[in-house]
Amino acid sequence: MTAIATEMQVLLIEDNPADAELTMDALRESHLENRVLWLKDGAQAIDHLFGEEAAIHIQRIKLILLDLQLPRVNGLEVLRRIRNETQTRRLPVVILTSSQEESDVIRAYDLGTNSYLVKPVDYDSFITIVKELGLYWMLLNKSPGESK
Amino acid sequence: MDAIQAGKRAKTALPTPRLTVPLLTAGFLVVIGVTASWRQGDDAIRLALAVANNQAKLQALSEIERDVRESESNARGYIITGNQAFADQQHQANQELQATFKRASQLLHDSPSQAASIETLNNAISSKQALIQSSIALRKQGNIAAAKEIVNWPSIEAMRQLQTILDHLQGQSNNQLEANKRKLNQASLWARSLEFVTGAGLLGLLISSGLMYQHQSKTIQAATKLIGESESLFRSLFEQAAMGRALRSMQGECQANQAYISMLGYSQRELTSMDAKALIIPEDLDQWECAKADLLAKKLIAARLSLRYKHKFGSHLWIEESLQLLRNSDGEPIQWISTILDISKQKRLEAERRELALYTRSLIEANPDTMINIKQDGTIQDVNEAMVMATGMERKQLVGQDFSSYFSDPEKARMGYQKVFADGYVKDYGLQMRHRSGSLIDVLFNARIFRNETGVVAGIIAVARDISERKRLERELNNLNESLEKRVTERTAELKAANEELEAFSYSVSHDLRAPLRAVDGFSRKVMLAYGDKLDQEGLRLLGVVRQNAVRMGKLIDDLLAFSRLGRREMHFVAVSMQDLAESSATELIELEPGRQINFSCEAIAPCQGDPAMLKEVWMNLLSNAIKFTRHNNPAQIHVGSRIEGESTIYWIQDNGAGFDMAYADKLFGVFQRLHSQEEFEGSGVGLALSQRIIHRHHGRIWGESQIGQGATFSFTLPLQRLSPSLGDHP
Repeated sequence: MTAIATEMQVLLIEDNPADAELTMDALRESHLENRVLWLKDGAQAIDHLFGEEAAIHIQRIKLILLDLQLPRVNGLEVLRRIRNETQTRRLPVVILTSSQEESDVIRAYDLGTNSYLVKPVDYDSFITIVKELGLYWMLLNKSPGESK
Repeated sequence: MDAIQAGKRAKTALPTPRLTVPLLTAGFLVVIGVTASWRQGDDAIRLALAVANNQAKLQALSEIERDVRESESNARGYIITGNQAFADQQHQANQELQATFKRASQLLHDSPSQAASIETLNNAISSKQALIQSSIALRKQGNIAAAKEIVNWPSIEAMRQLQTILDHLQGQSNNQLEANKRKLNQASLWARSLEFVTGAGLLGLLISSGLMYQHQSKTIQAATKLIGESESLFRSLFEQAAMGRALRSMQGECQANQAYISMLGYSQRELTSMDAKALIIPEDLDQWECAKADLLAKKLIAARLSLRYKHKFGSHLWIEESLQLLRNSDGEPIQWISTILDISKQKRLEAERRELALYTRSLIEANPDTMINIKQDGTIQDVNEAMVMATGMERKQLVGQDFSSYFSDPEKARMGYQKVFADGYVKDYGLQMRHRSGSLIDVLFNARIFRNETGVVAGIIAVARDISERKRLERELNNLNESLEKRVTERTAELKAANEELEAFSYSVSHDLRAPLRAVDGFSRKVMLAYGDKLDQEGLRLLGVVRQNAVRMGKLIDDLLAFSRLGRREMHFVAVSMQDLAESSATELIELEPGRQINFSCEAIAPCQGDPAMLKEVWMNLLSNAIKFTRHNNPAQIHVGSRIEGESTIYWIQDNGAGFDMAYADKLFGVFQRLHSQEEFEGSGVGLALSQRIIHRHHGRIWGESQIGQGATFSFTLPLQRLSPSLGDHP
């Protein structure tokens, strides 16, 4: 648990600070709050993933939580880039959005998302699903190249 | 027919023998023979008389010689003997000689050459006699020697001379006799020939006459037989003819056949005493009288009339009458022959046919479409009034003209009717007809060939419809369509823009509006968690209200989005078991109300065609309403069923809940329209609006019936027949 905690990160790409805070509240309950790297828009995400030291950054990413409605570069574009690049294509990406639009769901899956979650308005529900997804993806899910 | 055959038979059995030539020849021979015989007879008599004369001459001449020699020998006897007896006998001989000579001289007078010799003969006789007398006289004197002398020499010489004359005359007479005998022989030969010719002629005449008689008698026999046959034929024709026939003498006596009697209804007896005029209706009497007058005046041989007769019982008959006047060999009229045929039926049919023709013609003329009858060569045979109007030409100008000359494109018109002759018809063949004024009318031709009674193509009946108005409307419509299309394009673009805007809006709503709500709720919660101990009860309640409303607004947003999405959602029509949908929805919903007693019953309800997901939403909405509004009724009664009415199935959900005021029934299905307060019954007011939209998209209707406190019944219909899903309407 400690080894994972020091190395691996949740990359949260979310423009809304309230949602980001609530997300981190939820992840805190899973004791994952220190592993979260919060990027506030798509451009930052692109820069982080494909800019300088991208390889080092990518190495540390265990899960990407991606909002769709993002300033500058939107979430679907970010997802497309992730899936197009060899070094990022196998990273688990979970869409965490307020959009219930079927079209968004379909496009996200077409672009290769690993999961699609709609943020509930209700606080308790929200906390519950984010906590559970954190646990699942960070602790239970096995990614390629992991020793354990 | 039979009479003709009988005549033919008689002719072939008795060919007229060719007797004229033999008859004439025989007659000629007889005439020639008789004439020739007549003449030949005269000749023969004459010749016979001549022969007899000649023979008498020869007789007389030989008697002269005999008498002379008698006289001489007696003289000699006397001279020698002196016996007086000799002298007496000589004298007697002398007397006889005188008589004989007289007879001979008469006979000899017929021939002139011999008449001349009579004197010579007389002289010779006289001189001989003189010598004899002188010798006798001498003897008497007794001079016997002298007497002997005279008798010896001069008398011998005189005798010789006489003998010579007699010989000459006898020779002549003999020659004449021979000649006459020859002639007589010839004449008799001729006479025999003539007799033969005459006989042959007579025989010929006899035979010819016999043959002719035989022929005549055979002809008469055949003719008699024929007359007999033809009379019986005539009798039977007269009696049994389908045509009525009456023979009426000049005195008016009438003899009618059965057909005549049955045609007019009068008996033979009645007819006999009736004036023929009484049989004919007064209007038609004139022509009948005229015909009779013409026949009497020999202006006509037979009259053919078409007039009306009166039946005994009053009805009028159209009669075709053939009236003839029979005359005897002197040309005197003897009787009328009236042959009548009842043509009332034909007349009636004719009238019907005329009426039909008139009716048909009226139909043709009344037709507002142009009608033309075209011959094989393309000329117009007939037109109707519409054609006259369409071309501005007179009917008689049109008939006989080339069809194609009345069109703006004659070649196309020609091809049109040629196509009809080739294919049998044309359909909606477009042409432009030219009015005399030059204006053009758009027409559509429908044409078909027609045949005469024998099945031969007699021409084309072409019907043209003036479609200029239609064309104008079409153009107008096209213009309208174009502008409409343009407007539609514009509108579509606008709509598309609006739609995109709406989509962006919905997106914003779903995403951006909910985020703040989540923040409101989330951060209220955080306040409660972090600062709950610092707030009093009222403070916590107020935060609770904030959170409640945030959640409610989230729900409203979700429903609104669902409603807006519905219009755009594609429908998948399949067979749907409404029973399953209703029951599963009810089960799901009742499970959410564990504390309540809800009696749900479902009849066997009809399946339908539709989008199962959408129909499920309808059941969910209607049943959740029923469950919600029966909250205060324990136990809740919810009853579901269906029935078929006309072309659709009606599904209904009945509850024993709160019900609603029918005064506001029209508001039931409006978005966000609610008939109950939020405190009484919570809800967004979207559920029924959503249900209505789904039912409308299935070509159905939905309505609610209720009384306050009496429960409510919601019904919706779905068509029995599957209809294509209606396109989504945009909110």
